[in-house]
Amino acid sequence: MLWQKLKRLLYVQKPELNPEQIVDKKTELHNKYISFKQLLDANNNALKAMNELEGALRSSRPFGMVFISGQTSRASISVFSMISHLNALSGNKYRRLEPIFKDIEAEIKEIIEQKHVPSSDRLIISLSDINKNHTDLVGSKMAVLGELSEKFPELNVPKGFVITSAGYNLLMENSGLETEIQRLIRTALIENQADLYRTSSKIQMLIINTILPEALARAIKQAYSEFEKQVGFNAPVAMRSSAVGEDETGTSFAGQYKSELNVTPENIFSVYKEIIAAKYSVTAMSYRNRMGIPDELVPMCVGCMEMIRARCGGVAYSRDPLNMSEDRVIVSAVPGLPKPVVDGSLTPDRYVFTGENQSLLLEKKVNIKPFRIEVLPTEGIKKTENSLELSSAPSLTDEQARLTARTARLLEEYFKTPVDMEWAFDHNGLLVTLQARPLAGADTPKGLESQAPDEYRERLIIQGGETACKGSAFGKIFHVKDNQDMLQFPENSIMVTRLALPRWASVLSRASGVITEQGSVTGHLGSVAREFSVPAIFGLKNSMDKLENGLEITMDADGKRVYRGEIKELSGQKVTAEGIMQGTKIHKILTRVLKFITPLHLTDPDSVDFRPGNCRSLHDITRFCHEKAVHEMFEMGNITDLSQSGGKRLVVDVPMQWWVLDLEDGFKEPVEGKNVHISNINSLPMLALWKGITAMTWEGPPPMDGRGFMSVMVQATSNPDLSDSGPSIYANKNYFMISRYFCNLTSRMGFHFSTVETLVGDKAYENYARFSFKGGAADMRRRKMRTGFIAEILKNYDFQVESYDDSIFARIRGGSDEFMVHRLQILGYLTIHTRQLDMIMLSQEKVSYYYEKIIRDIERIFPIN
Amino acid sequence: MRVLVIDDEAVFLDTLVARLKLRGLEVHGCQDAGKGLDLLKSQPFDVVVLDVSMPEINGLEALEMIKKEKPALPVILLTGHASLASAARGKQMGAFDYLMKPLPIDDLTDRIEEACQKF
Repeated sequence: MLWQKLKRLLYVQKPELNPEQIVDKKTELHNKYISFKQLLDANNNALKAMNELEGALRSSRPFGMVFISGQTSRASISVFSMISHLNALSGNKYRRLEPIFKDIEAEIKEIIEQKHVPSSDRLIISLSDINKNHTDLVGSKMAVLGELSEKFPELNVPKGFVITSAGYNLLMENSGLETEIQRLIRTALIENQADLYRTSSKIQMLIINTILPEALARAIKQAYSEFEKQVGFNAPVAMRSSAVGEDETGTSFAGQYKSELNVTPENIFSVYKEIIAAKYSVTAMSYRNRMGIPDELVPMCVGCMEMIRARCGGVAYSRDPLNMSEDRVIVSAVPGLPKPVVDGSLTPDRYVFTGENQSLLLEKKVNIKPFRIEVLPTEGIKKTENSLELSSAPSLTDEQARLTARTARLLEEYFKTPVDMEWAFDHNGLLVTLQARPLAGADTPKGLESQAPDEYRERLIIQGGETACKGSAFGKIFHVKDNQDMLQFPENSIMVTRLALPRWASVLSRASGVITEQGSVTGHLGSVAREFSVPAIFGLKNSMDKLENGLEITMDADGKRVYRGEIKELSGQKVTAEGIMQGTKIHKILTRVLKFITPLHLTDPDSVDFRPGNCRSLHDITRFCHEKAVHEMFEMGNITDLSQSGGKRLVVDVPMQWWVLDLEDGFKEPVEGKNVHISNINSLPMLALWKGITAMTWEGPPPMDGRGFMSVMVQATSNPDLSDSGPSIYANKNYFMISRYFCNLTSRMGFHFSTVETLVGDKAYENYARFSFKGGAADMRRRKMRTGFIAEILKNYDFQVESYDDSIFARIRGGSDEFMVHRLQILGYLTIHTRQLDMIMLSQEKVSYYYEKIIRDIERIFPIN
Repeated sequence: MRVLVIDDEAVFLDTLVARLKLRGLEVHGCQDAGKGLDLLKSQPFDVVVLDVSMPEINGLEALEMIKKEKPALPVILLTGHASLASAARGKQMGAFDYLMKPLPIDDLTDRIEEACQKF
């Protein structure tokens, strides 16, 4: 079958085309490429949504149905888009996927649309009535504060109420505001900066100038009068945005929305509208646009909280963000409101505590604070200069700092992850918690973040990379390079492999841990590792060399470290961490929904089971579509002579004809005329191949003896594959189809035919290269020997290789751009330097000689960094 | 500190005036540029806050008139739907600064204070 494919691809004589057909052919190629690119974008989006849904299960951030249905729609829409693009690419070969997708989507819909969680139309809700189950109604920021105020009265969370998402919806539905906003967005070119500014300003002013619906205004007034009874007559409020969806996805919106301090009661309505309007600020709009988050999924809630006239305030981290494993609590403090710490306008005083109950003050650094932010007596805040004495005085007493540190640790225990807490001491000396959330980038389950005790440090073998799945494991190293290794993989070993390939997923049920040298945590293998809770470190450089087969190790995926032997304190801690939503109805819904989204059953593209009928999840469909799209692109080489269909002749000093067709952005400058110079090529993969092709002058065919020469003559006259309908032995034309990150090279040199198709960009999990090689002029025995010889070289450089007779088909995927460029250079080199080696493949000695020579050449010319 | 705010958007103007007053400024609001210019002739002001996009007399025309009469009086432009280019032109014509609508109230207060200190 492989041979049939290659024969069709390379031998069939192409008909002459008329000018109209040439234009059509070019358009067809361009359209195929565009479909392919859009399919990759959709794949990327689908995987991100899946990762976020999966991550939410164990996340320390609360989430609601809006999050689940939002991310699920994002995944579904992206997967449907992949199916459409695959069908566009393949001439509707995969229509069978559509009903399968619809069935899966229907299952998901059924779960989501059941009314498991009571919705609420309350426009206002008091903070004391809020808990984590109210995320959809009040946003995660306020849900956390409500939960804390209920569970920990000692945190002194300010009193207040929240204008809910139902209130937001009422405002937006009022007088067609929402419709008008959507119209403005639809008619604007958000990608155009000037248009974005104009639209942002228009929408914000539209909201600011609208009149609040009477029901909402009444509800706010009533809530304020209740608040006033508790806090004091005419008490000002701090108004804080709390978007539904904010902070839930890990891709935090932090800092993009507006909060306003010290607002008098008569201005609550107008400030409320300003905060809602700020949802349409330039930064927030472009952020949502970039992340593909629809507007309607981000209802804006607003917390109206007691205004704390802080004597001093700041931020506390329950761990050092630069070294999460150390027992250190960091308190940053300034006199006055904590704002200058949050916005970074002052260098705050710094206190570092350690030990049980933070008994030991490790570090105390008092900085100069030339000003402070104070609450004005009427409304607003003001920057006030500090006296010389005050500017150099500590913002806190040591005991106040210690109390703050202890509070941060208390919150850490509650969140089960390091936290970032905004706090203040009021004028009565009471510590108030203003805000709390998981510390950015530190969603680490409590108890797993600690590294091995000091005495094990000397056993550290290697560290680095990214945590793809948290936890730790003990086991024997087993290197996995090919299918054979997969079959032999011993139960409970730790898989070490070069690339994070999806096909390794089938090993995960038997592996206790995974370490890869390359690959992204957002790729398929990372998803499966998390699904199976197999601790995984990806992108740990040189791990194949440093971790020998059979070595017993303990891997600490959280600390991204690998130790020799067993460390009992660490080994076997799989991720069992419970997310904050564990046990809630929403968590159960997500768990049920995920069964139709993330499991990957189609792991091996070579298996007979790799077919649409076996897709049981959205993840399966993405995997299938991606694999088949790459396959379809590979066949793009089956085209008419590029010299006819608008390609440019490459101007180079190599004595062969090279033609280039630009599919999109493969040329630096537009090219008039028939030639393009190599210096004008903008395609990263083509340039890598080209470097390999031209790295060493080809020495010409190796000298052959009489037997070799006779064999070639006999083959040239009798081999049916080299018939007249095929290209002439002198037809040395080579075709590149390129864009910035894509390249398809069809190369015909004498009796040798090869194709390379590759995509190389900064998203490692999308990168791939496929290489095929066929032909030769010698007899089949020698051609087969040469095939085996090339296969060995390619395997040595991480390619997965299939060969049959004199055909080779090799592929590699998932490497970083740097890694892929290196492998493409090798492919370029092989394309030139293995030509006609078949003629001298007379003995195993010759094979070994040339194998060593080529490996030596490669290592010398393309050293691995 | 006496501030004159000229803006035809009533809700926005009323809120702005009320909130500036709460910050200790003596503020007069005017929805009509013509009336605002008349007020300038009859009363002393330290700063003018002027919307660029208004019917009849637009902000840039009003700015030109103010600068003719009182070249030293600082004017802060507010630019809404109008392009930023016209606000930038206003600055060339002698405006103290321009701010994009909507604006954080404390930013405007700071700019007003700076303008007063400079002139």
